[in-house]
Amino acid sequence: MTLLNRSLAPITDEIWEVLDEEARDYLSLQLTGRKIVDVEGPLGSDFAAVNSGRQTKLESPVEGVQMTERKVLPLAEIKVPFTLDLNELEAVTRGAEDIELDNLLEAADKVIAAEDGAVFKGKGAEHFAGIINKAEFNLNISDKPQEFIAAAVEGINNMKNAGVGGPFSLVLSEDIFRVLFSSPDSGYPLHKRLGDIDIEKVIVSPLMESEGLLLSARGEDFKLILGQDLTLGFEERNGSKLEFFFTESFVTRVISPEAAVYLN
Amino acid sequence: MPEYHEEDLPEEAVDYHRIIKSLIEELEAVDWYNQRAAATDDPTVQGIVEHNRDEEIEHACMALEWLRRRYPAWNENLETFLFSEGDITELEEEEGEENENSEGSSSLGLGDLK
Repeated sequence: MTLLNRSLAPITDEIWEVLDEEARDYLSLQLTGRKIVDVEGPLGSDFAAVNSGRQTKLESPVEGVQMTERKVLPLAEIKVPFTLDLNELEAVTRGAEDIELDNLLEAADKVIAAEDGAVFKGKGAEHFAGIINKAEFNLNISDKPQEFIAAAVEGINNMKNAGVGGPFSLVLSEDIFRVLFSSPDSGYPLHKRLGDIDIEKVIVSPLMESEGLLLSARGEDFKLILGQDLTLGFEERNGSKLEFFFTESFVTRVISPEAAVYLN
Repeated sequence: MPEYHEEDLPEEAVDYHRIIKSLIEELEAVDWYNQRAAATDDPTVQGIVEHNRDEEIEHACMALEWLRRRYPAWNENLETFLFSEGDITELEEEEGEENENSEGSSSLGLGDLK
């Protein structure tokens, strides 16, 4: 585990609070996967792997002895460095409220791309399947509300026929969301029609590119398992520049591919 | 009501009070049943009151869990003291040292965003 070295940073607890709060507010607004999948943990920075329940056969070491080894899913660890100006941070102690933290937010965007990229697209470790890659159903969608609803109904029927119940969640790319929700309603608002077919949550993800996911929100189908939850650490000082980083460790799992419909 | 020390309490404080009172009552009941079990000479009476005592323990634990899920101070302290080993009075000190060190236990507290 990466050492956080927070006590080594030449800044006060008050400044740490400002940095933590800014990061927390931004990430809780922008992270998408955690609003959809089940989050387990944080299980601690010493948590290294998740049991898959599976095993592989090894070569027999001694005649008459069968040996197997357990297969586990190791956690991946990310680290995203960024630089902040010490003079700017010191302004916090003088009462400044408009601190320049663009670099922190840019780094947070990379964190979001990494975490949500792993959840939705399986980016990163080989054993990150990604919900989009594993989704059992695939449907073409239209940007016309009426046709979109028809596709959503078909998707839900597919899941129900596979034994997957609701409620359901919808993750959409920004362009599809904008077109759908700015189209004139034919007498009945789109969000109410989605509610009528048991879609209780619609989330926009910057990670999606003219695509979407329709997922069961019944639980236990998709998981983000955290070792060390997202946190800020301190790397080093270079003159008036302070090097910080975001870090976390996690593994993603798609347990029920039949609980996902890829929309494109 | 006379059991309140302040007026115009928000609903959250009233619910907090309800659970605290329930917890107190459950623990009193645990104590009473335990005394009855210790006092009786009849093993069937003892069996019944011990069963009742353990039911009240279950209820008390439910109230504790309600508090833990909603209030970080309950969560933090229960995490520190429950299911631990060694000298109970030294656990608080060890926890303090871990926090000061702030390595590994620190996070932004994002967790589940549902």
